[in-house]
Amino acid sequence: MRTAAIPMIAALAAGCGDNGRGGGGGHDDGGTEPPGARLVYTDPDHGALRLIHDPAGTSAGAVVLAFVVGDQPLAGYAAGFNLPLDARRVKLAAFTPGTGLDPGGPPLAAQAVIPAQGPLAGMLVTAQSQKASGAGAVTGDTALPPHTVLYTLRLELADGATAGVVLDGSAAGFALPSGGLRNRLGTAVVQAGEVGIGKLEIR
Amino acid sequence: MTLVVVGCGAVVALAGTVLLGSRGSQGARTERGGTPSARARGHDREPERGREHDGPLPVYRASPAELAVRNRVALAESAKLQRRARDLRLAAPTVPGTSWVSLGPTEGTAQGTEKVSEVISGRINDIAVDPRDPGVVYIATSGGGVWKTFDLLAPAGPTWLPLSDTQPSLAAGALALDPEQPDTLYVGNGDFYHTVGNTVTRTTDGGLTWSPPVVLDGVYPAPSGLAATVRGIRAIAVHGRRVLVGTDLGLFASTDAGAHFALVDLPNLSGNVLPEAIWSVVHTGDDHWLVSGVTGCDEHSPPLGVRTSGHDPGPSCRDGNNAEIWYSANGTSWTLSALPATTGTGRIDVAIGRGAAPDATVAYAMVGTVELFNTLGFWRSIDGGRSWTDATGTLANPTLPIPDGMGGFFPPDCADVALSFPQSWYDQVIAVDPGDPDHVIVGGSLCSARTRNGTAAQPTWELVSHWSPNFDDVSGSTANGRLSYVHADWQTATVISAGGKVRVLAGTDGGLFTTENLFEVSTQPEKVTWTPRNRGLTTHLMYSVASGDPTTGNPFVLFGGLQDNGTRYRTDPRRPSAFDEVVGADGIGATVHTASSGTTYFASGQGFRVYCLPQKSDCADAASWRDVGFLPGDPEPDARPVPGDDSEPFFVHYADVQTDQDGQSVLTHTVGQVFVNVAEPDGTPHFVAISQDLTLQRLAFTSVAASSTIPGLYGASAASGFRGSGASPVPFFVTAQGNTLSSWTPAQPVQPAGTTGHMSAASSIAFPPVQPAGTQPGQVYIGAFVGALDDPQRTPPPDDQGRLYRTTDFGQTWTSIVGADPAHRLPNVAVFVVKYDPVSPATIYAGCDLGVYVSLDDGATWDRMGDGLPMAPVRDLYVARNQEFIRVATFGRGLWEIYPSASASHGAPGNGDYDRNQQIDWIDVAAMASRLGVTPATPQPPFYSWILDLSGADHDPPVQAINDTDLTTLITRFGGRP
Repeated sequence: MRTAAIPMIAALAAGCGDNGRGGGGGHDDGGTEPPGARLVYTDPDHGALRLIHDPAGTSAGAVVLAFVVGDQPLAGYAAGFNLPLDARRVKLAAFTPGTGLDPGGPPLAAQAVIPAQGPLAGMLVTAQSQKASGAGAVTGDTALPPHTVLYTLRLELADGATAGVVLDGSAAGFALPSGGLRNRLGTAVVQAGEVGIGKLEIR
Repeated sequence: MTLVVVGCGAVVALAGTVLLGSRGSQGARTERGGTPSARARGHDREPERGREHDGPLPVYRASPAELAVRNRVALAESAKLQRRARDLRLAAPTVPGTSWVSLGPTEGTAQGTEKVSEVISGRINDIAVDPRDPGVVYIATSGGGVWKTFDLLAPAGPTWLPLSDTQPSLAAGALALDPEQPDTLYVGNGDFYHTVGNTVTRTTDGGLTWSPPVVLDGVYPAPSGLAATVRGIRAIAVHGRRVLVGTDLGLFASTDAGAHFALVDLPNLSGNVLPEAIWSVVHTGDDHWLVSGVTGCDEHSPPLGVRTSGHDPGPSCRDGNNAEIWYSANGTSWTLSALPATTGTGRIDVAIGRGAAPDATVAYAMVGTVELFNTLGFWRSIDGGRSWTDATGTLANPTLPIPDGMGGFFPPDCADVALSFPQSWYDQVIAVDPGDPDHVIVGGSLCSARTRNGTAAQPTWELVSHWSPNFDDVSGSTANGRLSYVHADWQTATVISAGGKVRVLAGTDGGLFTTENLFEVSTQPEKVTWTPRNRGLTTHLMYSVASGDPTTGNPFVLFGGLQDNGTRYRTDPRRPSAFDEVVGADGIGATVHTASSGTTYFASGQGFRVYCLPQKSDCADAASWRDVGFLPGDPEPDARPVPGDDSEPFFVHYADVQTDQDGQSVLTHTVGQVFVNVAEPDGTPHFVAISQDLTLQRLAFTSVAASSTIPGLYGASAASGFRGSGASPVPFFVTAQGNTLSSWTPAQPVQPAGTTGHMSAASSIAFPPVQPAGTQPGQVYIGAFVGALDDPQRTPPPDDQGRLYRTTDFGQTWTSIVGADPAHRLPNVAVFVVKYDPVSPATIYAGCDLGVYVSLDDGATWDRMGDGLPMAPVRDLYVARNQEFIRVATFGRGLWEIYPSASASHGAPGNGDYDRNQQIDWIDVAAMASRLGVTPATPQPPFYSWILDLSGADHDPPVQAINDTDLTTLITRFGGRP
């Protein structure tokens, strides 16, 4: 059930993205990016939660980012973040919920979008939570060993993308507007300031 | 005596003058219950005419001293509430209930008496439109705070978001958006008429967060020395860091973006230092400004406020008390404008065209009179307000006279340009098309009108809306056709250009209405189309709640009375936050009585009573509600209270006698006497007097109550003086003689410990459900007060005494029961209603100015009850006999319910924005997912939150529960607006 739902989520996410292109994602269509352009992501070197890249899915025109637990174990119920990025340079091609926090049966309590308009326009907006009732219900917090993958995101070069920084969590003064891990009661287990974000750029 | 016939509704009187209602009051009425309620139609004629013996009214405006205490207490309670919200509402209350559920009204299908298939909302005082996006609109409401929509013109109607539910005051009197920084808004807290206030708050992020309130105060310079004790805020304008605020006592200016304000002493014709009451403040460009208002009679007299005698004081007013207009070219120095020579001018509102230089701007003024609150006319300026000429013009399409059913005619509702008659102090609006200074709209009591040649010597006005055009074949018709509906009582209007169209937004006592063809040349005035935009705008000013009960098998039954919006009745279990209007005018009291002999619903308006028998007719049909008729002993029907007479008060209350399980006993009161219903065999109500007449004691009843467990134990609260602010020699009366005429036992005045005064404006009385051992019925009871001490300053009682007291000796002595511990004390604000829990005898509920507070230990300690209830005044509450739910009427945020069972009817749809930050993101998904399966009956955290309960789907009828349907909806909004 859950596996079948994931492409739908991915399509939804892509549909809400910067350029509106759908198509199931997951493949590097090359686009019209400058010849030789490639996405390069530098992992953060700290963070109770971290957004790191997954070399297995990463290519020149795409990068797979995994939202993972850092070096210390955690326990929580829901996670997510709102991450500003340059939506002219990338599009969200796929969002794959992980198993660390079971999003339950449809409707999954998981989603990712890059809204083209509204208050979160130009941000990578993600969420995943366990569900307190229904299929796959989990009523308590779940232990999350170090490096547990909460969910992954596949970003691809946007049409006409030019070289430059897409997002940079390592920049001086960067502050993640919202993000972290919460327990079922809603208490913050990991605050936004404890989320490590790397640097994604087009070279 | 001068007789003046007015257009509709209730009868009002000025000193020496009686205004007779032309329709809906006397014409079709029979002695008792013979016809459908002829009162059904009609909006309020606001009663505040300031007569000395006007009778105590729940529209109690706190004194400056009370307001100061109220500000302090409300700020502290607001801080607690906001902390609790930040803590994600996890702190469980110590009572079974945890979360309040909004019951609406959010929609309606039949405003029966006005024959309009739309819902209306509460009074709107001001409107601001984001210049970057005309779909983003903010409104300031009389009692529901500030609301925002991002999609005003959405086909399904706008989605409204309340922005200030946890703020210390929800009485938003005025609102201004900084056009240069459109996410910055200033709100004046203090309704011009109902709930007092004297603060300004600011948001710089579109309403996500608000600054601490800044109090407006100051002193007029010598030789005046008058303290500007503001209690109502009427207008705000902003340019850069300069903010000007017009209040009922003074113009205030800030040069630091609202961080501080200083009183401005405006010049006056006499050269004396006179206080001013400001009605409008307009920024005209650069640092140019216009201000309008009225002056006091002398240095030491506050200007005429909203509550005046309706008579021009004439020579006794030394410097006159006329309307004035001031202009400034720098925001600091002010000059009196040259006005047409006239006297007796009252409220004056100013609006300007745009596009011209400040000193060449076309401006208009709508001018009222002091005498009889008429509309004097319109003035115009073509030099930015420096000089004005009369430009009243004429009305081209008056409404037609209406047959009175007896061969004659009632006068037309809107016969000429005097649109605000007879309450220009209350509803007087003018606005100008920013793209064409010839285009002006004005609104008043019953109608609005446009002109398209405003700069002509004498403009031609055309009616473009009417308050009740569908009432019958003639109502709302001109010679050229029928006008479109816009609710009565215009309060504000804004004209903008958007997408090549001129859009008008009008705020009334019935909410927001818009049009886009108002000024089109091709649009006949009768063809101007107005669209209500009030679905989900739950800002209703409710005086009462009437409820069925689980123990009597009718828990879905729910209705209540609303300020100017009649009595609203819940009709459809499948749409449980939809309410239809079944009785017009002001809705005041309401109750349900169920017994073996049947069920009777009662409602009341300003000075009248109606009923419906649900076993005989469909009470969702307005025609099923019938007049009770005059009560016996009422010597002057429909007149205002007169000393020595008994008569119908504006605010007519009821109390259900639950101990009468066979008959139809329901209590009500006139000004000076309590009555009980002794129904006729067919169920028709018949009220008989059961108390002495208090009017010769210059007292008036303010509420009635019946014990829920002890048969025949009744009580009433009483007060004296204007608005109940006078001395209260007898605050409460009780009887244990039931339905027998008897002399009720008077209580001694309540003197708070440590004071020398007595409490005024008693509001509510309640009897413990279990008679304390060794006492007699009526020996022990509790009584609440709206008012303060009865000294001239109306000094508030000390915090440790407050407004709730108990007697154990038939009212001879009194002890405060607000709690000794400041951390668990009933706030020292007006208490409108107090009730014992029928199941737990030590549990007491108090509906006060800030919400509902509960004591579980018979008054020893108090805490705010539950989560999610806005900081709105609670005027009435109903406790189910089996403790299954409590329903409350708020004055500004509609109806709410707490600890309903898991299968209780669904309430108003939430919007999913759990953390109220106007966006849907992971916080909201987390909050909802962790609450899947949660209902209002869930006893452990995470608790139910109505804001996450987007629909009642999956059940028929819908029930309250957070489920997958809500999550699916939330996911579709993910990354966007609520």
